[in-house]
Amino acid sequence: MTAPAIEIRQLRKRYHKVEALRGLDLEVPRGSICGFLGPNGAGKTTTMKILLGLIRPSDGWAAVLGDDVRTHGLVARSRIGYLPQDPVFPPNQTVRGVVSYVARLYPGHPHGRALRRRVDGMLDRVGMADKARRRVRGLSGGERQRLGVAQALISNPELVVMDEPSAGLDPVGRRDMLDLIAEIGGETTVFYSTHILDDVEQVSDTVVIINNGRAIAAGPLESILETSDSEYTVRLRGATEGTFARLTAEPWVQSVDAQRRREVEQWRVRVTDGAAAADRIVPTLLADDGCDILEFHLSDRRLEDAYLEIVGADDGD
Amino acid sequence: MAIDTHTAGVAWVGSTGVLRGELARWIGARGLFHLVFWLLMIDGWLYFTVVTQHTPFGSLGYQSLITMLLLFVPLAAIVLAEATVVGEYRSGVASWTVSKPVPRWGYVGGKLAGLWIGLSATGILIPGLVAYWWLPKVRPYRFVTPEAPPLGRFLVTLLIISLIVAFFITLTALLGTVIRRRGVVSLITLFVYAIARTPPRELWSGWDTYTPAGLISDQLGNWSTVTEYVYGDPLGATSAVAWTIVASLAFAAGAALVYQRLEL
Repeated sequence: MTAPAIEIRQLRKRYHKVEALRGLDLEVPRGSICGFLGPNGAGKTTTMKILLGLIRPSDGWAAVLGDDVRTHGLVARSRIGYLPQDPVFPPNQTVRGVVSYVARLYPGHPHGRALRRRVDGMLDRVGMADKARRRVRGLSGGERQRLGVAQALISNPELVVMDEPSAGLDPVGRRDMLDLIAEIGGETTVFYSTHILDDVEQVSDTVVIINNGRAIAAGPLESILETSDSEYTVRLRGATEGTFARLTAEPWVQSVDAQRRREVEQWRVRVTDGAAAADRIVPTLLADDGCDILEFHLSDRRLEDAYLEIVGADDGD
Repeated sequence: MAIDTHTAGVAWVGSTGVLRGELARWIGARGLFHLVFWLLMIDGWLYFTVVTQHTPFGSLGYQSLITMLLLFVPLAAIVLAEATVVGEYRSGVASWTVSKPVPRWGYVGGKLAGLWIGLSATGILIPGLVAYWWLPKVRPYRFVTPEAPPLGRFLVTLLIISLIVAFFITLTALLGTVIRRRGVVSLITLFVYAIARTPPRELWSGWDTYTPAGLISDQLGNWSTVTEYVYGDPLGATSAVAWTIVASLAFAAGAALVYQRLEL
């Protein structure tokens, strides 16, 4: 059986008195584009650094593409491309020099003209071909990020790890970065952290949410969205008191937020059991002839809602 | 723990990649800058003293050359090693490099070896050979034209200076990995350099036997042991050479060992 791209079991990391990871479990399937979400200080960068062998875990186990990062970290890293948060490169090197240097660190790299062709092709792919001779110290933040992507991909890695790849980019740069992630996602596994939930919704097929050093939700994006409570929007007119009383008495209704504008009332009905609500909400609303239903729909759940709900619930525990 | 051949192959490619990258910098703009700098610093100054000055250096060109190399190149080694080890650690370049398939000992070894080779070539070998070529051709202001020592002996002298440079590079690297503060590392290493040039022999008699002081200090005679060697004196400090090599290897190994445990 093929090992997952990333497999982590009961990973712990303690910095003096602070416990950054508290028994993290997660699994990222091969071929997925996995968004790694969590509040600041949740342990995202710590997890990535452990996968890259930059810091040692206090306890637990982590493997990349089947290679234990403690005992076979070097081999694991030979299959990973990594874009750090705020990437730093030797300031006096040229853009082409940086990418060529990184390419030569990986086993099986091409030589001579073949290497140059690969480097130039990669710079072209990330939109840096015309800046190949520029020195790193003269690059803007967005250009540095593109260079970071080029050096992460130059070895044709089986897993690309990116720590907040679109942080600090302007809207065009962010759009380009998302396009690039979606593009490389067709070729390899991508595991990236971000705070921008819109980005995850656009390009990710898998999501892991981490909070206080533990994974609190993980799986396909659709299942994360379904995990959270559903919400219906209802607009009605007439004698609504009976319908309101009937609805709020249902066990699958969590709350009904009612707002009245002239003779039209709008309800936001939050439900705890999506299946029960799907079966029962329409008959419940239509049971009373005294009011007219003007509008009824299941509100679109967005990842941001689901994320806030999941993290909020975890913080409340 | 046994290292399988695949892991060893990955480690070899990563480590030699770091070394090649470092050497490439010395072949490029950095090397050119150093070459011009050292030619002006060593040969330019030497020409000035030999041709125009009233000092006795005018007749003793090769001793002057060795003295200048011993004086300046180790200082440059300290500054550059500190920039490499502490500078790259603090800037994040080290973290970035070892996130690739590069073993940490390979990173430290590649960086130090590259620096040593680059500085030895541009700061010692080329200025030394250039001076070896032109010194017998000049007409000094005073005394006589310097007589060239045998080329083999001259090259061995340059090699010994290069070993002393390796000593200071690796010492700075070890201190840099432990302390990781540029000013503090500079102060300690410069203090060691000062001690090596003027060792307090009243405190310990082993300076000349067990440390590079036996090669570079000039308190025993008019010139340091290395300087006197270039003109035919026997190298009376072979144990100092041996201990300089041993200490350099130990410092490099220590730096790699400390780096292995750093959280980046």
